[in-house]
Amino acid sequence: MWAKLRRLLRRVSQLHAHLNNWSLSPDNLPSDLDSFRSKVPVTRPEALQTLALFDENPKNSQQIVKFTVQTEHSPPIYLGFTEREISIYAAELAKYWAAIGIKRGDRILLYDYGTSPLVYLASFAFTPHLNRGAAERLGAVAICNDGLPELVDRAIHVVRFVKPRFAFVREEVENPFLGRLASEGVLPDLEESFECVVVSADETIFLKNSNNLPAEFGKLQLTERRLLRIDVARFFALQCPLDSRSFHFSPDLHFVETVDPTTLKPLPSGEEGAIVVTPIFILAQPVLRYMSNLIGSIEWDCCRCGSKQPRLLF
Amino acid sequence: MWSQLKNRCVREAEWIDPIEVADPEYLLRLQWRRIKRVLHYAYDNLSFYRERFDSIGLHPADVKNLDDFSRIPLLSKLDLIAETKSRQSFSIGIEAFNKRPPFNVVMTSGTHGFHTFAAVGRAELTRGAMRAVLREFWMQKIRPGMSVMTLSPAWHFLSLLDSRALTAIGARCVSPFGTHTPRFAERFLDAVVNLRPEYVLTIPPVLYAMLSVCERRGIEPREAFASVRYVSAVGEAVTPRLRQKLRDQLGLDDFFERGGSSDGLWGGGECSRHNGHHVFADLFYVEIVDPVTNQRLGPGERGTIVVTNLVLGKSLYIRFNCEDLGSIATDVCECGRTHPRVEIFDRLDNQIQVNGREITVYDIRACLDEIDQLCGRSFFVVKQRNGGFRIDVYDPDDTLHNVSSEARAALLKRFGLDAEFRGIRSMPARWKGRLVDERQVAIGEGYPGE
Ligand SMILES: [Zn+2]
Ligand SMILES: [Zn+2]
Repeated sequence: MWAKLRRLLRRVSQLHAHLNNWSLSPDNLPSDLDSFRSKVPVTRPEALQTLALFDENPKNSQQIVKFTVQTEHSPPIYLGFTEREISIYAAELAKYWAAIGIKRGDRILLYDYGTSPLVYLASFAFTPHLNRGAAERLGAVAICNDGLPELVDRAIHVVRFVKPRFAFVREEVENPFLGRLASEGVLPDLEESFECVVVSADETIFLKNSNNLPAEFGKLQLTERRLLRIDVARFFALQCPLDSRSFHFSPDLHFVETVDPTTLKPLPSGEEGAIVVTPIFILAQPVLRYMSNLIGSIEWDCCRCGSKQPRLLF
Repeated sequence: MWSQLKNRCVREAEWIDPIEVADPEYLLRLQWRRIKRVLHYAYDNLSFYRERFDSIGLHPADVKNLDDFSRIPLLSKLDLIAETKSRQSFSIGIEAFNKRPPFNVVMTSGTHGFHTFAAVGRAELTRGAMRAVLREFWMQKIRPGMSVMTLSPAWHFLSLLDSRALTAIGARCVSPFGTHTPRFAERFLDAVVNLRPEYVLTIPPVLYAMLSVCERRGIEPREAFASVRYVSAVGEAVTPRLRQKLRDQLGLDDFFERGGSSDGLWGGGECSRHNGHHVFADLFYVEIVDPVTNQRLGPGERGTIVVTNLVLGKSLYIRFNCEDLGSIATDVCECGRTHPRVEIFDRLDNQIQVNGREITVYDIRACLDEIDQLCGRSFFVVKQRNGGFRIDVYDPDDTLHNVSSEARAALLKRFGLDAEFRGIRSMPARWKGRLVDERQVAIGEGYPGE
């Protein structure tokens, strides 16, 4: 990880002069992970709102598509991508789709806005400059319903007629969607096809009601999973099928750590603190040590579900 | 004459797909060849059309010219709904993919209370109708490297084509969070102010909502839109007067309109002459027919828009009745493009009968837009229980009474329509210039939208 991170820091310090504030000039880079963690301050959303940091800069003009973080920030946080970056991000999503069991020929309902990463990474049909979305990577077909709660009827309509095996829904519409699925009696016809509802929201895990499936589903083998997102850090983690408090993530493209939420001091692995993520594939608009509002710990031991991936434990 | 125009067009447009200025005779021959191909393909491969044609005793070989073609019964949205219900599937045997699975499935409009589905193949997004949008965007001044604000509701066919066409042009895209309803107008305006796009792709109700946000925040629209040179709005006809007003208000170089329908998977956009939507004849065959007799009408006559897709690789619509009111112009446009232009006025069910004459909500809009204070103001035409009509106008500051008698007189003079005006404080979430039934409003169903 350190080799990748060092490469990122070198490129970033050349591209983005403002990082010199953190004495991140090309000839004065941290020498190892520990010095990276102590030397580079965590980034809070407020810092990303200052447009000077995120605005156009002649050197990052290769950003070709910009999305907005969904969370209400004023001013908002904009996320810029190069063609390469958005493609890598979509490949990340595809990994999680594959982990859920999505395969060639599957149809997937997306009950979310076109401007949510759940959708904009899903297909090249949806997003300019995205050459292969998660659906194309797996040979699946993604059908979007938009994210408005009042469009729940239309989502059910898609379930009824398109018969997707999977549905990805934004957290806000989870209850109306599941409730309507049960009450409409759509499910009996779908026993073969409809498998899993994946609920997702930015920087939210909502453990309290982690199993929202209404009792009326009866014998139907419908599962519900949660896909954790930290959109600013272009990060996903997928709820473990056996332990609802664990979220597995792929450690290849993100450096994930915890810090003390008050002192912001780096914590040793396994200790609970604020989850801090550095995406190492984002150069045009780098985010170093993004401190999310999630509190948890990182576990590297083998999970009882059999996955060898590390997990965030909440 | 035609070649002079062609030269000018090529000069003005900097780049143009040669087919845009092709000889109109050539285009007609091309359309006819493609119509024949589509008919044969449909009969040989698509169960829906095979049954339909067999049931009326039609064989594609019997269709010997465009007149024969115009006698093929219209395909209606209700036909598609019935087929979707009977098959209990989005796939209804009109998908022209050579039996391959679709690449994407989109929902069409919810008219008649039911969303039908359309399937789209990859080729449609990389070649097919994507080319129509690519030409359209270029015609409407989107250029490589330009920063374009786009809000893609990914369930809509047009936004898929937009995404690919913007990629092909090499435009930079900015996308505020949300979807095309006025509730996200704050975020859209923030994006315009903060990200300074040169181009905004939107729908009229969202643009109007952004203007209301300007008003609430006390900023001049011209200031907020300082970076924006062009706006292109889709989905609703904008009257010439309103277009001029928006240009002035936002300080734009131009304001363009796009139109079409996800039912029928077709569309077109205005060039800078603003005299109808160029509908590319190599991709779509558009007819205007009498709404009652279904007889084909000539250029300039107002009737129902009927469309036939001329390329395969998607759900195939043959003589599909779009239930939109429009007219067609077949003369060569001043811009030099030789493809027909379609003026889209309104939905067919968005018209009322006054003294035996059909008038659309768009006609009322055009009349009210002549009055400065009402220009661009949202309204509904409410059909009252007594058979009369009332106009409900968005009136947050209670200023309608200043102009309501003038407006009433204008409608009376122009259409013989005597309608009472009423100001309303807030518009329902799904607002659009629409005809609604008073009973619906009264029982609190809100206004039918989308
Ligand atoms: Zn596990
Ligand atoms: Zn023209």
